[in-house]
Amino acid sequence: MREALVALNRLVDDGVVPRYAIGGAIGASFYIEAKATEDLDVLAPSAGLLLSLTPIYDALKVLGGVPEDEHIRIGGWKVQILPAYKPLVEEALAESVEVLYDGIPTRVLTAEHLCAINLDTGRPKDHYRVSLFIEAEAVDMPALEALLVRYQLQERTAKVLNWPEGDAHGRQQTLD
Amino acid sequence: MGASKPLIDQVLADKAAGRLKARALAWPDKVKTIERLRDATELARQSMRARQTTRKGDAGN
Repeated sequence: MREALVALNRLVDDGVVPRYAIGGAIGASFYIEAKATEDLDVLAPSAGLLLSLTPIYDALKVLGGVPEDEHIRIGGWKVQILPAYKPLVEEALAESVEVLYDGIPTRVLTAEHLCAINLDTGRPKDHYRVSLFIEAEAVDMPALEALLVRYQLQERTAKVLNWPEGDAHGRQQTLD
Repeated sequence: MGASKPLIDQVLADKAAGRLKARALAWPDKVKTIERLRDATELARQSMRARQTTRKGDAGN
């Protein structure tokens, strides 16, 4: 992981990308229990990337990365660069937090943005991951609910098994 | 409440910063666990592929 983060930081230092942030399962592991994954999902600003990720992958190859399908393998990790392709993801990247991984500065998405993106993606494993955040009390529920309202994702919570009773506005449902 | 709000906000911010720091300290061990799982899975896959290759070879004889 250190090798991958050093390479990603070099991309920023060299001006290939203005910034990046870790999302996906590795980003989630910052907040909740570690779960198996083979991918390191890295979000980057979409400017120039929606057409081609070639400049980034070329830069990573120079730093020792080995192309593998749509990934590039660095330090044992299959790194996938994901352009911030919609407003929720752009906001997630902009509000990512700077943290140290074993002394190496990097950025990770907030728990709320990770959950919102999971709900937006909407696969069974995404709903499960949100439930893990809730179970671990690792997500600020009012902040997450505000995000869901802003990006019209309130309906997606129905498939999260332990989503708290009540709607996105905190109103309790009544039995009549 | 008005006079103490900045103090409360500072306490909450400090608490959040402390939580973030604690998570950052724990993160590398979690990632190492994922790396061990990843490497074990890849070894198992390679072993299965090798067995399948051997079986195909035996079937052709």
